[in-house]
Amino acid sequence: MDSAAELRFREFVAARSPALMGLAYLLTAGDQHAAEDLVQSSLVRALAKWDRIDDPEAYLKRVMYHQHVSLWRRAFRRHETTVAEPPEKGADDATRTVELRLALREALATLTRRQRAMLVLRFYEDLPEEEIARLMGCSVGTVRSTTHRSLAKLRSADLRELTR
Amino acid sequence: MNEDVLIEEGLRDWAQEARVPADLADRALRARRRRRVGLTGFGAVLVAAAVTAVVTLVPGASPERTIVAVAPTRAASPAPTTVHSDVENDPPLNLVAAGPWAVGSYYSTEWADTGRGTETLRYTWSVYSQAEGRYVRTPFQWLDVLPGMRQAAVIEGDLPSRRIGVVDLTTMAITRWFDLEEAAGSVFWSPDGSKLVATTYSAPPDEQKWLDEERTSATGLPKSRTGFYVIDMNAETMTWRPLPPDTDNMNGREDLRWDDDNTRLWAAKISGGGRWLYDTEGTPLGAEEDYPRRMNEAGVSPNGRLRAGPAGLPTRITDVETGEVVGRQRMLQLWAWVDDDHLIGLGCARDCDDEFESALVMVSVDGEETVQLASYRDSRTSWRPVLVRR
Repeated sequence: MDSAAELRFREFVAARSPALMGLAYLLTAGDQHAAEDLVQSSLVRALAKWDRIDDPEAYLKRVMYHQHVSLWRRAFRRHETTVAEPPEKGADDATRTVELRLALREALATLTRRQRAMLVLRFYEDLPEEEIARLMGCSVGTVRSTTHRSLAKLRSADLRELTR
Repeated sequence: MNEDVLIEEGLRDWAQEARVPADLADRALRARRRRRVGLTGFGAVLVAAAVTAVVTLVPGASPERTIVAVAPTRAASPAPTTVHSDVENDPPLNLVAAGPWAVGSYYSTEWADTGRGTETLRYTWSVYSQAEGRYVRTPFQWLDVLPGMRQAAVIEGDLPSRRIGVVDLTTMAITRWFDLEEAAGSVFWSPDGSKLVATTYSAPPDEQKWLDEERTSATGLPKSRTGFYVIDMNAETMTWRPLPPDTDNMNGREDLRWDDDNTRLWAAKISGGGRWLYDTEGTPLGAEEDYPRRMNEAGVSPNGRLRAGPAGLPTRITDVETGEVVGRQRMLQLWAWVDDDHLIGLGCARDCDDEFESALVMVSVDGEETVQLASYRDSRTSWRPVLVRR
């Protein structure tokens, strides 16, 4: 890698780190350390072919999904995070929104990596089902059924009230 | 607030809580340098150690079979230390290799009707063509790459077949043909490349009479191994010796392979995971009960200190002397040692929720470092790699 390519790499990372960290943070269910690891290992992979990547951000996201969901970085340390207990119920609307979001996080943390990744792709990245299927290497039917099951799992958690 | 909006906003809100380290680029650049340095300097050890890689066929799609790519006594020196992956193509087009090992060839199988109420396997083999710098599909029903990846022994025509050839992988031309009187179902190089062994059969070695459409149970067919040829490549001589089937063996296919000593032959022992040994006359030399390669295991590390454990998630590596577990890996199988700190094996996809969806992966002894070498595929129905010393 020559110095011009390294400079381009540094500029890209500086500009896109917040987006990459945000995605990694969601994929790892709020585990800061695991999210940093995920971004770093994906960047290392991108470096290997930096000169040939047309769209670095798309490439990195793909690698991140792949690394996190398909691979098994850190064999036995499960990065399922315990989030804070939701506060007691009641109070005003603002409190209730916070309550729901905490419940959502807790519920998301109980999903499998694959389930969580699909929800992130669908709701955070706003990708169509076909694109999710392509990224995850499965059929559209699998995307639908996995999303359906994940949402059902969320609902069965503390989100029962969310649409009330 | 509806459910979709709540989830969208909840995720966005949560993502923003991530702290963004300022040195991510530095970390990645440093890690890359470390990784590149970390893979050098183990070649000399491996040249002396006759390690061999193996590939498992997962039961379910075809009869159990083990393919062994034996190590040469004289390998490239210094041994290659680079890592090549092709995760974009399925099956791979570009070289897949880690350290001294490469995927020299790969194959897939499908069941074909024999016309007599039974089915047998039809193979599709691809081999790494040095001429074209990529994997190319071949018309052969059997293929075995010589360590060094410059020649391959092949069988032409439906198995068993009377025609064995040798392909020069630098030109992709067939340089030699051997016409046999007994038909062969497999052919393997001796590690030094001086000899071939071809096991002969009176019927298709993979033939099965299935009892159900899912091909889960079959009736026993008469076992058909008749013997084997030893072909001396230098003297250009061919000797056939009879060797009846092993009475304990449930499978039709009972191939013979060369031991690392280039002298003895062996066949898989069905019970216990060991092997039967023979001399080149077919005289039994007894059995070896614990033979890791028979079970597709990497065995002991090049420096002799560590032992790769049996297949099964998670895999583990133990200290040979103390028996202490020194590392666990989220892998299905460990096939071969790349150096004293890394192995090649089968890693599973996602959270390992489907043991058949796997990829060739290089993994460190501590399980922390993984490098995916080839694409994920269903190991029952898709291509299967065969490792060889490059």
